[in-house]
Order: sequence, then structure tokens, then C-alpha cells
Amino acid sequence: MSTVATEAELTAERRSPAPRLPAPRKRPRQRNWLTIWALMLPAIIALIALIAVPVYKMVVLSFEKPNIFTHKYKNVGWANYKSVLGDHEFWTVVFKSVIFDVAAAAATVICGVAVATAMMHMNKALKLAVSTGLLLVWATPQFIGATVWQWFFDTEFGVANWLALHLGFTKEFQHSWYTSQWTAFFVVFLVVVWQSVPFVALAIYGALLTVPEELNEAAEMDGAGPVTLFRRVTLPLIVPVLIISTLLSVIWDFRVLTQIAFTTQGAPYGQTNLLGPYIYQKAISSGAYGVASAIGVVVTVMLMGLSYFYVKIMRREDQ
Amino acid sequence: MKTRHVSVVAVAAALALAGCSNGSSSTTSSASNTPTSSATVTSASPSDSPTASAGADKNQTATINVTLMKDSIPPATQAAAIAEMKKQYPNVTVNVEILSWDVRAAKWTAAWSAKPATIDAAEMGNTDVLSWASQGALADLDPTAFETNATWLDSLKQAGTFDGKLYGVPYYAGSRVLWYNKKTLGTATAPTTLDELQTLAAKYKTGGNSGIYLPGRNWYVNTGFLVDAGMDSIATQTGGTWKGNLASDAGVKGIERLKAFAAAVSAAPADVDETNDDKIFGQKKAAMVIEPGWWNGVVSAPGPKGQAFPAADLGAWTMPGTNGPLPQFLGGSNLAVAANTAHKDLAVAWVNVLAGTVVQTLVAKAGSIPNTTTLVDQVPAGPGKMAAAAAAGKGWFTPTSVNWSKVETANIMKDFFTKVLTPGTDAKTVAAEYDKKIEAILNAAA
Repeated sequence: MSTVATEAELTAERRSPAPRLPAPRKRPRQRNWLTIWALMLPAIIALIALIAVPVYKMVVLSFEKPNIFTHKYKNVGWANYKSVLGDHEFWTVVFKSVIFDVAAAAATVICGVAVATAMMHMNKALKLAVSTGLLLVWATPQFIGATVWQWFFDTEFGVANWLALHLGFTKEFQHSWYTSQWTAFFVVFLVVVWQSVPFVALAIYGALLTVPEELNEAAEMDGAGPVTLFRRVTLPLIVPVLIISTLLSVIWDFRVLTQIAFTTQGAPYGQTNLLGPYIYQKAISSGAYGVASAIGVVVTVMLMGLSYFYVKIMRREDQ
Repeated sequence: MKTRHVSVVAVAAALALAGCSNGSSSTTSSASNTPTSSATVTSASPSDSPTASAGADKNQTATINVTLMKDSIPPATQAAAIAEMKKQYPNVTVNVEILSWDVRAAKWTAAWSAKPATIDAAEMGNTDVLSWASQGALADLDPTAFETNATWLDSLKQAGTFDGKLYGVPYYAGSRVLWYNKKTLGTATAPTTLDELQTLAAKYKTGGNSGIYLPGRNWYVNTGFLVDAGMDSIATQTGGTWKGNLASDAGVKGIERLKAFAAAVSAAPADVDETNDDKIFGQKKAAMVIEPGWWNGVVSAPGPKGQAFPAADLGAWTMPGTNGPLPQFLGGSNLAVAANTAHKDLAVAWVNVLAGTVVQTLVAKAGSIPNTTTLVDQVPAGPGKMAAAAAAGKGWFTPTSVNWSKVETANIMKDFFTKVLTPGTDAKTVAAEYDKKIEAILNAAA
């Protein structure tokens, strides 16, 4: 037996925990499984009914050509998927959806950070007013918010056109916001970002409140300006919230449907139909429920990829 | 009187096929109210009206859910129908939901794919029935179960029939006339040609105001210009294949005429539909509009703030075309029962009430063309009869394909007119593009 400790042994010793005190004797406790299940049951039922069953049905339907009225279903194998993945229009819609999604999520987070930072410098009354305003927007049902914006940009009765005319920006009586793909997307973009900013702003505001004041003071004493302070002190501390907010925005904005249905309705000529309205069109207008389900499955898989990162980050935060 | 009676009956009989319940989607507060059974019954006693749905137990207790379309028959008539149903079936509750035309497909899809169906009976545009019946969403019905079946308008009966079976009971028909503001037009006399109308209407197009408000997406009206120029139908079937006619010589000629006419008389945008007709007319931003024969009931009805267009200032002319009246879309509605309903007997009873003499008399008095030739003389003189006469002239109907409804749901025709009426577009190119879209849908497997 060698008296010289090997490197490996030393390393193991360094890593080994300090000698433990004998653990106090615990009375063996039985987990109350009944209570645990009773508490979880409502959530489990809701998840099964609202997510698992529809997803299961969607997957089954994606391999069928159904007649949903007579409830007769014909198995078509992978035909629906082949039709979707080989459709040029589908990939155009996916491309548009991704670009829109990234742009909307980025704008949402930037505006959210700006509003949250501004709130940090507001007095109590103003802060209360802004918080209330944000909550009101957040609480407004999507279709109501979208309808209000649709009215705002209405060709004949819209406030936007009225303002433009009376402020002298245009001599047009009726500018059609929905005859150009760009201006139509602008309206949808505005509605989506407007509805998404409150959540992000409040989440980031909450994160900003947890940044210790001493850190800011110390940095200021060391000569850091507002930009450096934000970039080097504040930002690193709110990064986890920022990442989660961004991911959630990306997931939410990928599923835009109501905001388009109540504003452009796909105009002009279906060019503002992103994935949500596209699926709706395939199912309701064309009666191609199998194809629509196949698109649904493809989109679900895409979103599951994003959700994986979200869950991973959440777990890391928990630990 | 007899001559007039006969002529109107002939007019009604001439109403061949018909389309989406006049297609109007103008908004009125009253139309969105769900009528209740407390509404006044303004017609004859129902006790003596025969009830063909004798199979239904009169004393059963049940609730049925039904839908009617927005801006269809007036609320008072709806209320009378509910009251009539209550008299025949005292323990049956009828829940009426008023659907807007835009959402009907989504609503029916959800309701009729369920078992039991969550909508038992529905009013449908007559262009809808074929498609939904072919998909198995509707129950086939025995015509003899309905009181007025022997004298139904042939047009609506055909629109409700698929594969030799009845799926849509005739409800009412209608057509459009040219409504004008008497105060604005003063002593002007009725124009007899499109050119005369253009000259008259152009005088009132100033700034954002229209002589005639002619929105681009009002495809029921706009298609009339193409038919007026000689286009046979939007699409015709030869050897089992549908071919679009928008880009035909006559179609393009009609589009060019429409473009010139709209540019001369209308300030309406190309990307809006007729939803705002009543507001534009009420705000005196248009001297004339083209709307159904019963539209006076919409524009003169009190709004949310009590405002209404004075009935005395409202005049109507037949809408002129190049040579004779402009061909009008043969609009109308049918009544259908869901294939998956759990209350077929009561749904049939409800349809029988709406299609029966009591309610149809009210329908006629309100200015629409009733489903039976025996009541056509009840249509009051004026716009209602003008509409009937216009429809009896050269009317047009949508292609009789089981897939046509999908063309409408996908807004193909609305998009076509928006694009073709947008300045700088070439009529022939756009028409050819949309012919292809229509052909793709009509020639696809149902």
C-alpha cells in the first residue's frame, strides 16, 4: 500500500464533502399521495381535455380525409403531409410567419424594456397610471383590441386617415391600408405588438425591481453613465426574464390568428394570411380538414422546439 | 288589379335560381337583436294555418337552437315566427341566433359536425345549400311536410334541391333597386340607361362624396355589369369541366364599363363591401345606393341613437343597364335542417312556421318576395315590386357547382373586384388570374 497519495486521490479528497454530522433521526413520514393527486387532478383533467385530446385528434385527422358531418373517415396515409410539404404556398406562409414572428417578438421586447425602464423613473402616480393602462391592454380580449385597431385604420371612417388628412400629411380622403401587403402587415404588426408589450413590460419591470440599488450606486460612483449602467449592471441581472419573455413572445406571435381575422382578414388577396389564418382557410373555406390538421401538426412540432428551450430555461431557473 | 297580380306571379315564377339572401351585410342595431317570444304578432291567427309537421308531439318539452341571417327578414317578422311556434308548441323554446354572413361557414361547420348538432335548423343563402347538402351536413326533407310546397317559387325550390332530394325549403327571394335621396336629386327623373345614370350621378361626385356609392367588394352588384355586357355566367361547365368566363370578351367589356362607371360616379374604395351603405347614405355622403327592395326597412329603422333616414326622402328606381334594367343577382334564402339534429321533428316544424302562410304574408308585406306564388300580390307597390320586376328581367345566378360555396367563403369574387377596380390594373390579366382560381375550386373533388 503506497503512502503517497495519487493525484486522483487528492482530487477526490478535494471534491469530497466535509465530514457530516450524524443526521437527526426523522420519523418516517408517508407521502400523502391522495392529497397530491387530488390537488393535481383538476389540472390534469384540464390538460387532457383541452390539450391532449385535441392534439391526439389532430394527429389522427392529419392521416385522414374526413367527412366531419357524416363522421366517415378515409385513411390516406402520408398524403396530407406530402401535399402540405410540397405546396409552395405553404412555405411562403411559413417564411412570412417566421419573419413576422421575429420582428414582432423583437419589437415587443424592445418596447417592453423601454416601458419598464421608464417606469423605474416615474413618480408613484404616473407609475400607477401606466401600470393600470398596461393591465387594461393586457386584459382586453384580442378580438376587441383588434376590432378597435381595425376601426382606427378603416378606409372610410378611420381616425388614422382623418388625422392624416387634417394634419396635412395627405390630400387623400380614403387611404386604403389593406390594399398593400406592407401597410396591411403594418396594421397587424401594430395590433400584435400593442397587445404583447404589457406582459413583457410588467415582467421586466418586476425583474428591474430586484436589481440591488447598491450595485447601481457603486457603478455610478465608478463613473458609469446610464448606458453603461444598463448594459453592464442591469442587463446581466434581468437576462433570464428577458430570455423567457422573448421566447414566450416568439411562441405567442407564431400563433397569430384573431388579430388578422379582425383586421385585414388576409387582405390584400390573402397575402397577410400567416400560419393561423392559413390553417383556418384550409379547414373552413376549403373543407380540407385532413390537410389543415397536417399543417397543424407541423406547426405544433415547430412550436414544441421553441417550447423545449423555454422549459429548459425554466428548469435551470428553478435549480 | 288582376293584371298586376298575374304579372307579379309571373315575375315570381321567373325568379329562377337565387343567391345569398341578397348578400347585403349593412349593419343595423335591430337586426342583431335576438327576438323573444314576447314580440307582437301582427298577422292572422295561426290556429287555422295547416301544420304539415303533424309528426311532432305538440306537448313535448324541448329547446331547439336555430340561426337566421343578419339583415334578413325584419325583427318583427322573426318575433312573429317565434310567437307562432309557441302557439303550436307551447313547451318548446326556440333559441334564435342571428349570424353575420362572414362567419356562417365557421359556425355551421362547428355546429353540424357535432353529434347531436348544436344548431337544429338554419336560414341559408340559396347559393349555400348545394355545397352543404353534398357534404352530408343537411337532412333531406319531405316537401309534402310543408304547408306551401305546392306553390313554391321554382327558383328557390331548385336552389334547395340536390340529387333529386329537398334539403333547403324556400324562404324568400329578393333583388336590388337603385335607392336615392329625394332631397338631393330634386326633380331628377328616372334614368333609363346606364349612360344617363352615369351623367346624372357624376354631378354628385364631389370630394369624398359619391353620386352612387359603389364599393369594390359588392360583387353581387358589380357582376351585373359583366352580365349586362353579355357574359353568360361566372363559369360554365362543358364536358364535366368548369371554365371561368371573367376573361371572356364580354366579361372584359363589362369590367371596363364597370371601371369607367365607378370612376365617374363613386368615391367608394375598391377594398370595402356594402356593409357601410346605410351609414354612407344616412350621412348624405352618397346620393344613391344599390340595395335590395326591402332596404327602406333597414335605413329608415331607428338606430342605436334613434336616428333614421326619413322614409319620405327615400325614393327608388329600377337600376338601368345598357339596354333595359341592369341584370340583377337572383338573391334569396332557403331553410335547412341539420342532418345530425336530435330534434328533427321540431326543426321541421320551425321551418314550416317560417315557410308557412302566416310568416310569409309578413315577409311579402315587408317588401321581400315570399316563397309562394299565392302571396306575391301581398308585396307592396314600390321598391319591392320593382325588385321583383328587375329580377324577372335578365337576372343571373352563381354556377350550380357543389363547390361554389367555397369560392364565396374564400372571398374570391370580392378579391377579384378589389383588384380589378384598383387603378392601374389590367382587366384581362386580372380576370384570367381569377378565372384560374375559380376553375381550381370548382373542378376540385368535392
